[in-house]
Amino acid sequence: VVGIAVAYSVTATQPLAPERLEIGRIGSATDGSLDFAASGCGSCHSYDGTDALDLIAYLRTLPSDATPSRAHDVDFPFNIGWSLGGWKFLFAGTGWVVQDVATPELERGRYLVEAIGHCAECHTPRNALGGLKRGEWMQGAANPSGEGRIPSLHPDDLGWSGGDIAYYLDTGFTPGFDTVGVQMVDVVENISQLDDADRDAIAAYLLALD
Amino acid sequence: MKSVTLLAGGTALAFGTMAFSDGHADVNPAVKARQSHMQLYAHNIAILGGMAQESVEYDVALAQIAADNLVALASINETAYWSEGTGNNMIEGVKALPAIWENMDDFMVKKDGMRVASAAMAEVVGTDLASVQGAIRDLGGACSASHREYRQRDN
Repeated sequence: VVGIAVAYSVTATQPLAPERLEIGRIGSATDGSLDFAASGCGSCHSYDGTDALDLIAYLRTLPSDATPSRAHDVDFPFNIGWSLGGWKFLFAGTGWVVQDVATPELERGRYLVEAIGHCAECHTPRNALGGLKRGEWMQGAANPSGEGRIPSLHPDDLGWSGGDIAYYLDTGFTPGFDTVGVQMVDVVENISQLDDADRDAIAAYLLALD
Repeated sequence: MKSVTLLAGGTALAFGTMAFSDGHADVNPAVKARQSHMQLYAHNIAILGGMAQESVEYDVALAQIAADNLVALASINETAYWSEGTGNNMIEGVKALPAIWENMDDFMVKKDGMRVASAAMAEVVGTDLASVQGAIRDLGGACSASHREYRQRDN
């Protein structure tokens, strides 16, 4: 851990400018400045433009809060703008991990998992510089904010059927009828609002991982 | 269709409630009691969940028994087996976080959500399968409300 990147306030009084989202999507703002990705992830490079605009529209509906954004608290060299640019050059926006998506369902699943859902940001281990180890995609990682590990979602490790995965994402129940815990509660809460086809697509993508 | 077995008479529980910390989850009476309680929850939720997933045939009588068992389980006063010194910082193999004892009132409010969700299930479980499929979401939500903040992450 090299520090804490603080998420920007994006309420109506401090609206998220389109160029801020571009920081996340392409790695730098349209004005040339560099900063941490607006959503704190390097997975946003493949956002569909319409979805990005929809996100901005939603964020602008949030209740106002005049509390200013706090500064990042990160160690050297990540507190230097140009070094962050180097990091993004190496690790952000490097394209799809799964190249072979033979069906529209797999393609949709890839979009939901690799881009919008940015699942790998927690479920994939990182190298010494904090970049995702794409060769160990979705195979579990140390928990960056506490004890324990983020579990592997690779089908060899998870051992769930597609129906199991889709039902978990819909209701929070595991195949053994334990329930989702910690941060995944929020994730399931959001994914449960998608339609069945999208949850099936996520499941199909995960089951197709090599 | 899978077959399921039902543990009936969900209130016939004998819990040892001596509150001491001996360093092992499998021999601490308070920990064993609450883990057994969770297993009974899971067993009865699995019956309803299997029906909700349509992997088990919807059986009104069986569903009603499972829902009533959940109501009974949720009505048990758990105070005695959430005793001090039985968190994961004190006993190996325990998943209960110390935050429980730091926020016991909130924890009990979260647990009361299970009573509300179980009662709602018991009320509609005999209506039709769609009602079970709807009510099971609230049961899951009630469980997750506790697990979000008060249960250790699985490794």
